[in-house]
Parts: sequence; structure tokens; C-alpha cells
Amino acid sequence: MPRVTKRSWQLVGDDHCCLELEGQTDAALLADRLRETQDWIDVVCGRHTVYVQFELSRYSQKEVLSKLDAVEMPIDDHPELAQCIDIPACYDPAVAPDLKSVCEQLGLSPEKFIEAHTASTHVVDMLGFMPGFAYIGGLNPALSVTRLDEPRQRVAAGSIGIAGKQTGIYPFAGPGGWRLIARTPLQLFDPEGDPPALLKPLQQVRFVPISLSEFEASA
Amino acid sequence: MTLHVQHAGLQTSIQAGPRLRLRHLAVPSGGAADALSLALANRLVGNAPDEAGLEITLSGARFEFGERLSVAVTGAVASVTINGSSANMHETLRLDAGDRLEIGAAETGARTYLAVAGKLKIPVVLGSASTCLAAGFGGLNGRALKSGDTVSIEENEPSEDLRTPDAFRYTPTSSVVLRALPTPGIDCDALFDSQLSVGSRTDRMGVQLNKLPRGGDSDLASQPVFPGGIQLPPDGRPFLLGVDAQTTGGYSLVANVARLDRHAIGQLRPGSTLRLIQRDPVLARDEYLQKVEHFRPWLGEAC
Repeated sequence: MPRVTKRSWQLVGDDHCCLELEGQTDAALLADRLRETQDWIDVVCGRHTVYVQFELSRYSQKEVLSKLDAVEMPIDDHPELAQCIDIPACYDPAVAPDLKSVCEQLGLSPEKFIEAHTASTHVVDMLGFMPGFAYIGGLNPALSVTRLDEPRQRVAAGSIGIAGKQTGIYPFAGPGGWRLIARTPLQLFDPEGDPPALLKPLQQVRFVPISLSEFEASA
Repeated sequence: MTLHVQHAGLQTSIQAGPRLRLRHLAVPSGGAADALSLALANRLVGNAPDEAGLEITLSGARFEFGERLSVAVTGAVASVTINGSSANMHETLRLDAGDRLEIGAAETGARTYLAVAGKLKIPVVLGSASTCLAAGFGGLNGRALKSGDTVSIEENEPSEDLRTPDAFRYTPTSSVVLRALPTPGIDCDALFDSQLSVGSRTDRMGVQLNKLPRGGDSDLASQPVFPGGIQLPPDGRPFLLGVDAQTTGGYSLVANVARLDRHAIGQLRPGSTLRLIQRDPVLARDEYLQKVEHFRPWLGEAC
């Protein structure tokens, strides 16, 4: 059975449409292909969806749907994944305000938690929330916790949080509801950079523990 | 040439066109919340429609100008004075060195736009000079203007004196009708049948509406969303997404405001009443094309 079943694009509103796909890889690969054409205002991936916003004065909805339905689905069972990025992560309570309570909740020592969080390779599901914020899948199920009941008014830039099955890294200071278990000195989003975002969907990520002094030296 | 911010008010920021082709990096579209009003202001001072201008929110603001130049004010209805003497919106205003321009609190609508002849000396970041408040880039140092700020302006000659012809004026009102398209397969009659009101939570990210009898589904996977989308959280208070909306959302998306009316979201304010009228995609596009045609003699393609 083919891995990708042929589905059709659906209009959402008057100037964007969406396609549901079987898997995350399909969505990311198709979005990359669509972005290359420059025909579209924006092409954005959900986990299993691709959304396209188009210029309404340029195309009728009918033209857009038939144009998109004609795009071949990139099928790649072994996509060439970008090299795994190492994210230096400081798990010191001084910069990880929720690590202690998370460990208590999970019944783990901080050492065991850090070992488990740094042992596995994580994969970026999608970007959202704020520029460069990556929803990173692959969290060890033994580390799963819920969000904070009340979001924090201010989370420091570089904070690494967990919620449900995901890890997220806050590129900028701002409000946030994930439980903060570490912090990285890396810049996740640089408006002057090319590309401006460090992470993208399907990017593999490993967290590498660093000490508080290493964090302070590079932050 | 310079513009001094004497009183920045509630929120005054530099806004130009949106940032396109970056939503996949979770960069909000941004730009003027009411792009039509910015274009109309720029037209009166000879600027390109999406040239950077000042977006002044609700409370008004006061500026002093270092040199002789032309400005124009459009958008939310507010009193305009030059050195205390009344001046008109929708007209080219000539200022002399040292003149003080005061824009009063918005009477109807939420955002007034000030365009200045010549370019504001604001760097283009990721394709636009617009201020991205959430991430702190673009505009002046990535933030809203503060009292005491100075914005530099390219040297220029005063532009010709213009008035927006009546047919092209856009005047925000306190009772707003927006055309919208229900999400296929989702029942949201309550949204279209009722007179809605705008709650106190309104900013560039979006506008909260009054509670509906029923909330949306919870625990949905986050999906890409766009300005104009209407989310229905489980608490039943619809949230209408503005230009600075996040790029993804985990609430039920029940409808989308049609392209042609999206700029008017930027003029909703606490207490505005809102009615959504249903459109199908083909009609919504026809009406959009008519609107572009209507404004073409005055604004070119910039509607």
C-alpha cells in the first residue's frame, strides 16, 4: 500500500487552503517543495498538515486548488535529515526554575532526569508560538508532565521547557506555560541570520548538559 | 530631518508592510494592523503605500518636528492639532520646524496612522521595517516608541497638497460588519447569528469577543493559523486573530474573516459591536476584486 494516499486540498477561508497528510515527514517535504516555487505568500506546516496562503487578486480559489492538487507528493522513505544539532543545556536550578518540582512529580532525581533528557535524540515537530520557537518531539515518556496551571508572565530567552510529549525552547523572553527544566545560551532566532531560525521541522536535536559557569561564560 | 516623540501614548509603533514568506519560521505577519489606513496616509504625502509610518493606538500621541515637512493622518477618528490649532485628517498637512502635532484619543476605531513625507530611516529587517513587538526586532530598536525617542527622516521636499477624495475615505465606526467564511464542517451558527461585542482584551495579536453559548473542542493538535482566523476556545470566548497573531494555534478554528475586510480588524476596540456575515469563497473573492478595482484610481494595487 502506498504510504501517501492521494488527498485533495481544502479551502480554509477565502485565501488559504490546507492538505492533511499521513505523516510529519510528508508535510515537511511537501512544504519545502511548495516554498521553492515562490507562488505562495506563505506555506506553513502543522504536524500532519500543510497550509498555503495565496494572493487572492492573482489566483481564483479554483485555480489554486487545481494547481496544488497537481503538485506531486515528494515521497522519500529515507529523507536526508540535517545533521543533528547539539543544544548546550544548563540544568542548574539557578536557570531551571521548575526542574526540582518536575523531578519530585516524576519521582526522579535531577541526575536521572538530566540523563534521560540528554540520552535521546529529539526531532522538531513544527515551529510556532513565537519566531523560531520549535515544538520538539521525542521526549522520553517517563519525563512527561503537564503545563503550568498559570503561565508565567515572563520566561527568560533560551529557557528550555517541557509539556506533554514535547520539549520547547523560548527564543525570546515572554510569557510561557511550559515547565522550565534547563536553559541554553544558544540564539534560536537571529533576524539578521540566514536562515534566521536555528531549528526547522524534522531537524534532529540532542541536549548536551553544561555547567552553570559554562552557561554564564557563553550566555 | 527628525521627528521627536513628545508623548508616545498607550502604544505607538512603527509599522509598514507585513513580513511575507516567514510564517513557517513562526514569524508573525505583522505590519500595520489596518493596512488600508496606512496606505491612505502614505498616499497623501507621496510615499509608497506600505512605507513605514506610525501606528498610534487608542490614547493618542504628540510629536514635534525638527524641520519643515508634510505629514498626513488617517484611520481611527481623532482630533488633530498643530500647535493647538485644529487640523484635518485625510489631508496633507504642512509643518514648519518646531511644530507640534497632537493626535487626540481615538473617538471611533482603535488606530490612527501618521505618515511622514520621505522615508523614516528605519532598517528593513526580514523584508519589512515593521516592529515585531513579540520578538523585539524591526521598527525602532524592536519596540514601541517611548516619549523622548527621535526618529530620523530622509531629506525631502514637502509633497503636493492632497485630500483623500470622499469615495476613498475609510472611517472606522463603533459598529462593525465583517464578512467571514465558516470553516467547512464546523457548526458555528452562533457566531453568525448574533450581535457580538469586543471584550477588553484587544491588541495587535487579536481581539477577544463575547462569550458564546457553547465552547469549542479542547485538546486539538496545534495547526497553522492566519490573521483573520476566529478561534473558539473551550471557554466559548471567540478570539479573532490580528496581524501579530501567532502562526499556530491549538483551538478550534471556526471561521475566517474574508481578505477584503481583514484590515478592519485593526480598528476594533473594547466595546465595539461586531456582526459577522457569511460569505462563500467565490463571492468573497469577487467582492475583494471589486474593492481593489474601486481603490485602484487612488491607491494603485495597494488595497
